[in-house]
Amino acid sequence: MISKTEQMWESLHDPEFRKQLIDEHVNVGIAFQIRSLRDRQKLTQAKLAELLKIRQPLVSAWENPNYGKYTLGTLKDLAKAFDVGLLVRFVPFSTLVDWTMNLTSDVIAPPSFGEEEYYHVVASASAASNPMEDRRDVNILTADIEAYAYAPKTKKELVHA
Amino acid sequence: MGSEFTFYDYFDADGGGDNVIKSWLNGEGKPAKAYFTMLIPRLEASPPPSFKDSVWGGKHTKFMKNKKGKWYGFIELRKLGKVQFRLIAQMQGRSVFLVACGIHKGHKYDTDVSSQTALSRVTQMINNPARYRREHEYD
Repeated sequence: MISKTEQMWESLHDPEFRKQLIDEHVNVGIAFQIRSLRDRQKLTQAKLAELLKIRQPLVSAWENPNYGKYTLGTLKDLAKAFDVGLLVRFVPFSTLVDWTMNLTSDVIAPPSFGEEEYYHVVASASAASNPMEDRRDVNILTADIEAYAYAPKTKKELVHA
Repeated sequence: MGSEFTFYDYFDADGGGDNVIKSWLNGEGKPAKAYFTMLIPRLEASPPPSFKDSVWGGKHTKFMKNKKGKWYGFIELRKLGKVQFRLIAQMQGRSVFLVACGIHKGHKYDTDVSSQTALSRVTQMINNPARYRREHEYD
């Protein structure tokens, strides 16, 4: 029984599949990230469109994995609107496969700078009160970010939780 | 946080003895294989559909309910285009059972199984997992 990572690696021996994977990684990945980030930050499509000074149907199109016409300018504008970093780089296929097979919801919708800063301040304050517990505070920070990301944010979610 | 969902493929233990989904993705559904290879891990990592920040739902994952209710409870994972590629699944708890697959050209919806067979496959996968299901395979 081979791992899922090894299975995907096997598929990569087909050159046509490798080309398609580059397209779909961007098309599906960006669409999902926009949708998830928008939800995490409680922005409607209309509100995001207003922030970017564009029309709402374009945001809807960006959230469709079949869209596939993103420009670097669009991605930079979106990163600024969401207040998150943006990495655009060439990588070996092994990196792409590892990244895909180890996805979490926090990777799909990362915390904004403000959210990271909030937990950084909390962790720093905690470390100042007890410098011997630095390592523990890092763990608390990670756990807090995950707890925030997964906490029910609507009445419907509370019922589900 | 790890995976939210686990995807399983239907294994045709009584017929050809093959993974039905894997065979389709390497055959008729090959043009959509890369798309589903990128879609499924993201769905596995996403919170359940009832959560606001879930990516379930939308144009890529449609919750099916036709007029006769035949496909009620099933989900279509879809790659849209002139020819549409579809995987039919059913979600039960944190498991997603991929049971059928097909293409859609114009008005013709060509899946290789009926809803009754799809339902029967889900039951087989739950009742006898060792025989009828495989964790989704990517090769």
